[in-house]
Amino acid sequence: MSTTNQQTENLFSFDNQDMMVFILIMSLHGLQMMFAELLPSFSLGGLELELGPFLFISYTLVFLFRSFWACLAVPVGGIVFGEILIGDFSAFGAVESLLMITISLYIATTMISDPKDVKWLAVLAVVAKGLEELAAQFIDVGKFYVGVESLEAIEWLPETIWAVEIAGATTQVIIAGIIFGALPMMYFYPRMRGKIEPLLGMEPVEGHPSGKRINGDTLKGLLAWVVLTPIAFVFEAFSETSGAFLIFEPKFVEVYGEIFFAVPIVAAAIVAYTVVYYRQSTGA
Amino acid sequence: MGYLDALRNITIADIKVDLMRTAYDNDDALLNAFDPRVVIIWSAIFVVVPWFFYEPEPLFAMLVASLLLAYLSQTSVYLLALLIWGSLSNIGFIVILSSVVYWWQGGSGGLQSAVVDNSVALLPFTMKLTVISVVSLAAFSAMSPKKLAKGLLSLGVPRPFTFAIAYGYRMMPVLLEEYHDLVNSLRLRNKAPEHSGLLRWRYYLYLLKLAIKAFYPMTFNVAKRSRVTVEAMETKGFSHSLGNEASRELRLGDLEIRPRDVTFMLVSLLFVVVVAVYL
Repeated sequence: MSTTNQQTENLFSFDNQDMMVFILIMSLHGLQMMFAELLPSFSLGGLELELGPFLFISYTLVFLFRSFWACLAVPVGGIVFGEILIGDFSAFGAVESLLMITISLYIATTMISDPKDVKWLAVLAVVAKGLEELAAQFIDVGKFYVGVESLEAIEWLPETIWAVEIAGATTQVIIAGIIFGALPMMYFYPRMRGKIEPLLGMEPVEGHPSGKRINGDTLKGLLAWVVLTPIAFVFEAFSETSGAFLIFEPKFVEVYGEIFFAVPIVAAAIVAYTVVYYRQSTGA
Repeated sequence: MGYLDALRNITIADIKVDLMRTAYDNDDALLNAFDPRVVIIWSAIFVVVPWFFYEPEPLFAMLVASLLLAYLSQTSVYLLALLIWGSLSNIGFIVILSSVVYWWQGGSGGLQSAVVDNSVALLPFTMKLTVISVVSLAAFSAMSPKKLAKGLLSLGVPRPFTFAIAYGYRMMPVLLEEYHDLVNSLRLRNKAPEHSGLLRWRYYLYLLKLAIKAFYPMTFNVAKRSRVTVEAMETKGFSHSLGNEASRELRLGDLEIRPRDVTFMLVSLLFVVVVAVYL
């Protein structure tokens, strides 16, 4: 096993150690998500008051290993354990968390100047959660504005949604980011640093080479965050087609009738049948 | 230890069994019999289809059909209840909140009629969301992880991600079991607070602290396991096979769309057409 320092390598290069780190973070993040599901929670629409998720374990490990793949492992763990496993998987909706959680964590990891400064790391954990929630809030409110025509029948909804979203994001940052994120991380990080890396055949990662808290990589990360938020929004809006389809509903169905939808379906079915039979008869 | 604790312990054990059954026991599931690509595309279609319907009757027919399908696919009842409850409570909250605001702003008809109006307005929407959740739950929990990973791989999802799915399914019960054991052994070695306080909050806080501390040994165990996993994978040539076309073909060789897959697709589309025309 080689013990190369991660930072001397290219950001996206993927070796065996990255794979180990990826599996480690993915499994533990997924486990804490499944466990947090079992804890009591009090949910009022967008506003959730719950114990967990236990993000401290994810933050501790991401800050310990600090590679792009470590950041990516967090949303992948969430998708695999929290969505696909229980069957509640929406492919386009998953893209949002893949993009925004990864980039938010990555920005935080670039700002680590001194790996022993636990208080600064706690601040960074809150920064990462804050960036993630900020993007999520923009996306949720944006989704509402896309679908606004169909929903304006209900009075006071815009104000309600803004209030609920802001309150939801704030409570998430406080509960998941600080109480179950940054604070337990301050306990775990110093105890794990230097102990867990040798298990994977690695050396503890040092601070960012520039030695500054806000450096070129941070700015690049922030730029990527700004670029990725609208992209994530498009995917998220597409996954919840509610707005788009509700808007053009009545005229569309009145003019063509519901039978209209059957025509392309039947045509596609006949084509599919023919192709499969043809391939079976020629292939075998 | 009261009745509540007994209830909670039973449910956690039940949920564990239920989750494991969902992930592993899908040999007899109806949807598992078909080609994974067909099931993935099928569920993608049926996540969109409900949005084309606006009347309660066809949506209700679809809800019944999707529940039947979920039953035939041996979907976990617990997860089903959780999903349905999730969509109901979400919508219910919006209905109540907007009605209260409407009433507070002096809207005509009073609070009760505002609630009724808003519920009726949102009923089709609720049913749509429920149909979608049930359909995707039936599809994704019925397929065995191996099949699902293969299906996604052949639809162009990168191999490391499909590997993560298969690995997650394999490891989930092990991880849950190990974590549960660690929490229990911490409970054995620690002393529960003598006075549990109002609503037993001290006791629950103590359990929560143990649950957090259990992640410390857990992390080291998982780290060792992930190293062993990667080493085992490399002895089988994992990274060598990543970009290898022959390996991909070998992996996907037994995927085949047969007439019964098309029949399945056709019957379900026919069902939608019948519902659309006659209801």
